[in-house]
Amino acid sequence: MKKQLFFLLLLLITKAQAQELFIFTEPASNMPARSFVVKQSGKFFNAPATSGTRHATELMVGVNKNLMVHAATTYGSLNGAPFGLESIRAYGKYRFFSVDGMYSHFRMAAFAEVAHSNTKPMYQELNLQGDHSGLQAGLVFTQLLHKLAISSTVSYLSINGISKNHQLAMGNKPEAINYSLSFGHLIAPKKYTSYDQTNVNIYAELLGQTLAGTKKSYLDFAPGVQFIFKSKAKLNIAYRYNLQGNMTRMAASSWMIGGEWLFLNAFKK
Amino acid sequence: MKKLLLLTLLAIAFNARAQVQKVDLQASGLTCAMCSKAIYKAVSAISFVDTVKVDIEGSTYEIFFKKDNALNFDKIAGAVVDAGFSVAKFTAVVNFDKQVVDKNGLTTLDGIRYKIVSSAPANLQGSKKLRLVGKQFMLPKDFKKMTPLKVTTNDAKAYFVTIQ
Repeated sequence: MKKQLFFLLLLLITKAQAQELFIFTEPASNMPARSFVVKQSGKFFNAPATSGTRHATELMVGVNKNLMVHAATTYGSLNGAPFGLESIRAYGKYRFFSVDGMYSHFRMAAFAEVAHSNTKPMYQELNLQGDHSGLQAGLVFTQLLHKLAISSTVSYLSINGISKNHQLAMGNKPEAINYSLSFGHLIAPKKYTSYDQTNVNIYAELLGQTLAGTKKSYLDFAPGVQFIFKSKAKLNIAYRYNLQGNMTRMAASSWMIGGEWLFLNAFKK
Repeated sequence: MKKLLLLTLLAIAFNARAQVQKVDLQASGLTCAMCSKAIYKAVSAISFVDTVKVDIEGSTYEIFFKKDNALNFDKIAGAVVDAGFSVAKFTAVVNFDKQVVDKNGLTTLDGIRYKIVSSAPANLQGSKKLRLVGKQFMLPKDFKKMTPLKVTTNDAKAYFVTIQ
């Protein structure tokens, strides 16, 4: 825990520009209007209980300056199951508050998402990233302060379908509160001269969940590094591990590697 | 005859925007190159924009125009907002030739109506830097300093400016 605090403090005091293109969470800012992003990522679980990989393909579209939507699917092979489609998901985020300063901003957004999953529920941990069907809605708050980007998300998650019955059978309520706190900053280049420079950003994200019925919870720490090539392609590498918690989960730790491609002004006005 | 008419129209059109030499725009609310590129692309895609020179570090964009279209400053500011950010400062460099300004500070050049809200001379001569005044053209804290602006019905569709 001391290490993580040290890392966060380092982020707070380092003289560099901030980035809010977080790896695990969405900022309150949206994509540029009429642009889209294709995102491909893989999660690699390395825990005794679970082995295997999960892949996700996601399409994100900036509808207008305030609204963006995502459509996503996950597939893979976990715990010896044959490789196949696991889930589909739709997400929408609306930015409803924005104050911009010269090199700063504070923004707020509301989001909602719905997912359908084919996978067999096995754990107490609830998510819409492949394991469960359900609905989630929440708020995002993002502050950019030139040298630091801080973002926080709070959301309510409700599970339905077979996952719901499974949770009820285990004596749990099929509901949870999710929360996160993310920090990010740019470490290279030291001086911007062109859009072709490779940017390197580092991130530290705290990701947590508390189940409604049993009040069981987890808190993960996820440090990550991000490379941005020619201001249009991103490579994300992150390691996520359990800091503390008492619920059963797929894995106590995982690696994530992913790429994103941004297509600006893809749609005509 | 048709050719002549076309030529005359072209000449009028050509004249029409030669007077705005460029726009210097500073965008706010961003610190990343990817964000800056989104603004650059959005402004470059506007039909009457020819080229855009960027200073990423200073978040400033020097915008030059094609010679055959009417300009619209609101469209430029709108492109920045659509990219997800705001305009901190918007300055048009305009070339005047014995341009008469009325007692209310109003003057029209090439179909663009300006209202000079700083102390206005009776005539404008040579290259002038006009800073646009308005919520969509400046930081909220700068806009607060400008108020209260006197707006009359004659000011419809006029860009409020101060001479720099």
